[in-house]
Amino acid sequence: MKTTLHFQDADTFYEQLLDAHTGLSPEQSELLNARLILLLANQIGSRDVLAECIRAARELPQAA
Amino acid sequence: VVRERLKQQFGPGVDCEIVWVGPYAYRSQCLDTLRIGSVFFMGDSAKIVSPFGARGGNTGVADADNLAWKLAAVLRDQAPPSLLDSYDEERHEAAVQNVAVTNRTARFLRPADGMERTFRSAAIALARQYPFARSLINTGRMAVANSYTASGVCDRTGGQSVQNVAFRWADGSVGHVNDLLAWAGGRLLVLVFGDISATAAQRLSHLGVAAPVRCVQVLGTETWPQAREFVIDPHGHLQGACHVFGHAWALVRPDAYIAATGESVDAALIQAIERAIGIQP
Repeated sequence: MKTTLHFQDADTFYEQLLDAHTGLSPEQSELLNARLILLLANQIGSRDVLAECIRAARELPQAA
Repeated sequence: VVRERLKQQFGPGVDCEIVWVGPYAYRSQCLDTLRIGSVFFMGDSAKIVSPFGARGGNTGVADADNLAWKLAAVLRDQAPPSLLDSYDEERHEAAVQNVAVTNRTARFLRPADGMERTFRSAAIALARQYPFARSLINTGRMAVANSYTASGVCDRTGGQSVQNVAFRWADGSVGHVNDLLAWAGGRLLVLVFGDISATAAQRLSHLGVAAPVRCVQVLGTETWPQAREFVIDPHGHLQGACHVFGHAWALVRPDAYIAATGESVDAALIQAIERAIGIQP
């Protein structure tokens, strides 16, 4: 799992992500997120990396 | 409701008679151990799976296949009683896997409210356009022959099932793996692929006398028989089914599982045979 910067353009991605949710109901937003996760997961593919990403998302590192 | 669904599925022109409608609940259960003394649990007495992928019947037959040859070998004094311990090691692993696979299907077909349902809706929506998402649609996975990874009688090179592929007998007629296993008559089968040295041929012929095994050389199209028993594998299907390449041997059990594979006919083969019939090193 990569934890260092890999985005070509982080700010643009973040903006696109927020824009995609504009005007959606909470339910529609949840569905959009779910579709997006599945699409992105298929880009990664690797079983180990995906498992690590899920674990990392569940367990936030302790604040220093 | 049922009539309406059937109409959607088959079209309005198809008439049908509904005999019985009842609630159905998925459930799955698995015993902690498949052997208690001289009682062996198999099929539905060992585990209950949700009915997906023809698993109940197929795994029940596989359970029986696994135990039958071991019981026969022990009763004929060809193997020590400890061979029977491997029934639980192998089929319990398979039972746990099969319960897990059907639980995944049940979870897809009947997701919990909330995020489970959201992800299913997302997967179905994507599957309409994108091929990758179709693999997430889990309406049941067909039963497969489970591999054994934790068996005391399988080497780490073994544990996989052998498909019932075709080959040619020495006289050129077509045979299948199951015929070869029947010919071996409950003994282990040593298949040696490709050329064998004179020493190896001698060792194999001794082996056939000393151990409960039958040794068979498997020839390609351009090799000549050097062993007493041989079969021909013109397209390499038998070799592929045994998961080996080039010059190799495969030790095949009566239940069409590989016990071990190796390269040269030496002490490793003898050890593999001992291990496969439950003799501890």
